[in-house]
Amino acid sequence: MTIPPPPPPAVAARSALVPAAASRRRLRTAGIWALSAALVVAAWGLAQVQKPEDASYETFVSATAVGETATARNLSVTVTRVRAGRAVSDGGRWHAEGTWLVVDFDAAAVQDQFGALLQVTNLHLGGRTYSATERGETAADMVLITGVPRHGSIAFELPEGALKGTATLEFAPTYTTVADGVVEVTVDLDSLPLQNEVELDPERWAR
Amino acid sequence: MGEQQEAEPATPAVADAATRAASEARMAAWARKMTDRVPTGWLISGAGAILLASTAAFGGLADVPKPKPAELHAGEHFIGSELDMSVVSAAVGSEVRGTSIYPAAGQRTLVVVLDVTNEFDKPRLAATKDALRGIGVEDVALEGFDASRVVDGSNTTFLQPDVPARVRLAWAVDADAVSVGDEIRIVLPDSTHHVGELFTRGDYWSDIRTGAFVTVRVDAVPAEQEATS
Amino acid sequence: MTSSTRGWWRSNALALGLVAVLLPATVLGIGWWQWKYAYPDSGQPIWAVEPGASGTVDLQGATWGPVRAKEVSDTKGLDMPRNAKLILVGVKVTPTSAKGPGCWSPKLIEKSTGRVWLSARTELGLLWDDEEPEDCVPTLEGEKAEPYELVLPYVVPDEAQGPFWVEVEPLFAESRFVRFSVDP
Repeated sequence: MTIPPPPPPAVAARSALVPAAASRRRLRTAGIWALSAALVVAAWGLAQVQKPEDASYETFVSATAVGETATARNLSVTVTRVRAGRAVSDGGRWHAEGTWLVVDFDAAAVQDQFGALLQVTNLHLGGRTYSATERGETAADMVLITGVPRHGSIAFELPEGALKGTATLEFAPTYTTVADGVVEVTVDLDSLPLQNEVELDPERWAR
Repeated sequence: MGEQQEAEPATPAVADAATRAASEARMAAWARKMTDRVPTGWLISGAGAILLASTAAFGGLADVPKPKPAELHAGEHFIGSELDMSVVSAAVGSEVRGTSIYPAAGQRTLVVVLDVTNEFDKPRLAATKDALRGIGVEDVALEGFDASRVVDGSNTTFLQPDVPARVRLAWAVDADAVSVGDEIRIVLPDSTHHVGELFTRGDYWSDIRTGAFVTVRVDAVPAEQEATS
Repeated sequence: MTSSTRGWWRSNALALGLVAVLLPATVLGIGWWQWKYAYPDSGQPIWAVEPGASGTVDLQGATWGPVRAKEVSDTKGLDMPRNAKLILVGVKVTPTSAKGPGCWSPKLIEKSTGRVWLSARTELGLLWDDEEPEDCVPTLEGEKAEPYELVLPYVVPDEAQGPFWVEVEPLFAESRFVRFSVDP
């Protein structure tokens, strides 16, 4: 058994090491703080880039203009003509006054005819949404046949003085458009003449 | 003493470990002392007191008294459930042409003509409890429902935004409940609109309540509108 | 194993035995129930039953088939569009029980693309005719089910090419359906 050496040299050695260890420790602390700050900034950046919670329910829009064909998942639509009138008639006994927008179109299913009806026919105008009227005989809820387009007309009953600005027509083959495709067609209403009476086209095969 | 024996071949790593352990022990002791200082009991009772004080400030936790429904007459407008409604007339008859109401023996058809404009920014279903189906008559049982447009007799499925429509509502009622010349109080509905989120997306109207009473005199349905059997 | 470990096993033997029986039973039970809900009770057509050499299928109280399909070129008197052709399909249905089967509208499916068609009698301008049913004929009260043939005119685009499947999905058939292969 040897007599333990006096403490001072070991203490001195330890105290000599302390400044170096302390500075390395300070550097490591600073590094950890910097990393934390960087992660917080990255999290903020990620939150900015992220879509809202509702994004997975958004519809897929196929946009087009009058005269062109657009195809969504199970619907292909071509708006052939848009007319505005102070009155509409369906070629039969029904006649109605008011402010009307009549849309003629060709529509077909793309993949599956089962359950394919033109169920969504909406007009977005001036911050409001209108649906195609159920009055008279129109092509609302028209049967869609796979690959073979059918022609029809729908009419939108609008409040007085609403026929201005740019409108967007929305078509879809089912009511639940959540995460499904819709076709949107932009129409410029300012350039549309207002007719006295507009007659709806009968429902038939597309030409 | 033992420390001194270990300090003999002291490497910087061991010294660092010792100091780190010592500082960790100090941190733990400090944390325990700090949490002991937090007066949990005081905080809980303080929060409770603040909550009670604030409920007293907004009138307590009792139900807010509901506003009384408006009392109106024919031709006066009422806006409820985002619909601008105004009763035009009321009439009672046997089988009225154009309504799909076929009163059984001992029943008659009650017809109410209403001007309605949808004040919402999307089309509304007419035959829902927050819309036209919520219209009733005080103290009178109504059976069936029919809503058609006066101008062309078409069934009213949707009410387009900002488009005024004159609608004829019809129900079957007991023959002795309503007679020509009676004054009936028609109930117009009101409700609160809210928007659903995520998988409950869409517009909902809840808390359907009486919005207004419209006192109207009941006329007889004109003879040409009665379906002659 | 030390004596204390063996002691633990012994004192918990009953519980462990029960777990050994109940755990697999629960897994199997829930698993079978979920499978049943997802597959046969789903109401979706999942399992196709194809005909053998006889050209017929026995399913849901009826013998389905044989099936014939023809591309009709003479469409005078019918309202036909341009760029489309008419494929006429006949499916014989022979009920084997007192009540005839119900079914969804029979589909025509192009094998290469998977496109689905339903019969388009109304669009062709044909009125309803009880000699040419488009859907499975329901058996009325007090009547006995008679054999009939489903007459299905399909309007398909000119570029649609055979071979096709003709699928009939009977009601309550627990996700089974009848599938015939045709090439008109």
